[in-house]
Amino acid sequence: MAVITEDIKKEVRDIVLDFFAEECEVEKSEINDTTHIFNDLEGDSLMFLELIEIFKKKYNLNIDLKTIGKYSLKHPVRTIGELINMQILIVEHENNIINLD
Amino acid sequence: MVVGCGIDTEERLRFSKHLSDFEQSEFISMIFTELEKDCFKTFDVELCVPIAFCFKEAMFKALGNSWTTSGIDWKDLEIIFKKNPTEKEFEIKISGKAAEMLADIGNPQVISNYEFNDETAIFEIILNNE
Repeated sequence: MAVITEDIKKEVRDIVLDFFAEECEVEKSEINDTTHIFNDLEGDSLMFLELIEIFKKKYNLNIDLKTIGKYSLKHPVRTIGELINMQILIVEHENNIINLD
Repeated sequence: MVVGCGIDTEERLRFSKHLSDFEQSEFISMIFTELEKDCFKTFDVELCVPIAFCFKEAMFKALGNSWTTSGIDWKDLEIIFKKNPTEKEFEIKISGKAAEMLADIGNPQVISNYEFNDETAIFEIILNNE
């Protein structure tokens, strides 16, 4: 289990914001925790998967889409803030995220 | 009686960055099974991948869900092209949670079709019970 520092939290946030700013062609400053990924940014599954790929590579994570899918069933991700929180948990717990409440 | 339908379309260009190193692509390996990857390599990955991605998304929708709201794994949904995708001879394999969900609605017939041009791919699925 990785130790999540404030630096890592900031890094995860920056990766998510930079990614959506580029993919959705919006200013990074226009995206915040309450921004709705699908309604406000017109994000889609492909973007979501690409972002997971970025995190898998960067942090060398052992995480399966199946696990993320099961986790998302209980913890739906609709906003940028929810997505950042989930990514931080994935970096911290990898496939063990499924064992969290 | 139609018990579900799903349709998905994608820009083919969006997949190109994942195809330059198809064998090593983490993105491709997350979504597609080894059987699918071998099949795609036999034909045309630049065409097979967008069609196959649309198939999976269309099936999620036909089952009334997305992958984050269904518990279905992307690899539970397989499409195997029997010939070059231009010939439209393919087989669909459903397993895991997706198979359970189909069983729950009476194992409907899966009617499927796809189209593509240079820019886009589109896949449609109708789940039909007699």
